[in-house]
Amino acid sequence: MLNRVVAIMIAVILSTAGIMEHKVSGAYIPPDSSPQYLYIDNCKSKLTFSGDDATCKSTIEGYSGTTTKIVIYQVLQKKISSSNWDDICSWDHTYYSYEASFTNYRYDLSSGTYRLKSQFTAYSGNSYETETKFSSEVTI
Amino acid sequence: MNDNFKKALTDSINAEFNDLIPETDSHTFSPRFEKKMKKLINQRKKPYYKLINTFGKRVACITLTIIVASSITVMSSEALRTRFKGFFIQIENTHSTIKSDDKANCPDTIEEIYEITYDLSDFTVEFEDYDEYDRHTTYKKGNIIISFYQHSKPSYDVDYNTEDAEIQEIEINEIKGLYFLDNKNYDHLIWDNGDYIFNVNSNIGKDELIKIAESVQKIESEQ
Repeated sequence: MLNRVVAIMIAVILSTAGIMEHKVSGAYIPPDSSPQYLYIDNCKSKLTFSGDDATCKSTIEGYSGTTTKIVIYQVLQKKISSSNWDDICSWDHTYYSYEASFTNYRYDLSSGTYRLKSQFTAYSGNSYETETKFSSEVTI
Repeated sequence: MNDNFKKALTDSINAEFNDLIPETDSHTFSPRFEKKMKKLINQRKKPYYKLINTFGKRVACITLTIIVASSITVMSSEALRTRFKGFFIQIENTHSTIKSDDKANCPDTIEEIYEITYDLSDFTVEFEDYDEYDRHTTYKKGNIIISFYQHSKPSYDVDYNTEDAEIQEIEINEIKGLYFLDNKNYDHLIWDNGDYIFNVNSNIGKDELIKIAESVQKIESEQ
């Protein structure tokens, strides 16, 4: 019985290690993966507070002549446990440009820890990629 | 077989073969044998004895340990985190997150404005985005794009496309900074003058971009 358990453990770890090695070497492509940073040069997600009023800012720069459209989706989140967050509010906007800056405000927030989730979808014609960037956590 | 029969049989056999058993002195085992026996007895007392009591199991355990150690090494190398010239850099497969690693004694917001003083008169300003933490201007001439950023150090936390790029050290006006060429042929220069982080990105060419970066100067104080 024990031999079987050890054999199964070795098999599981061997297969896991094999997958990881492929992933690091670049040969393994997960079937559900989407390409990243084909149309995005840089992006930023910034959350600042003045008292209990939040400023949520997302900025992105794509590539002139390549990036044709940008959709920014912002979600202000509040921490409810060590790894769980509540969505407080969200905004989105579409820009027909290769760079964009999107700012929104939320007032009179209750005390707690917040972060801004910025989801950038950059298009080049009909092709697109999506990148998510979180701001630093801010406690008020 | 009843008990009496068993006893009678044993006695008769003993009696029959008693003379055949040679007289011997009490045996003393060799120290090597005693040591080996002691080791075996001690091994049996270990809680993990059943895991290593055969040669095959011992080989399996050693293999397992090596594989687990290798897996941990592979996993930890997936996102490389490093500190370099005042920057904290987390390198992923497709991009890198760069932050300031030296936020002491610097303004929280932009108190002094810096601009490119290199002659860009034949460029047009394509994009401007200014707030109290960051300033960003994009200049354009034909297909040439120059993006200039001034970041307050505490707010500097940017993801860059660094796929296939090698981040190198460079000097801008004797200040050490970062340089990389991304896979779209845009050069990137990032440096920290002590108060702010500056970043210029362009497809104008590396030498020209360094001259542009070296021309960045303080213009006025933010009111």
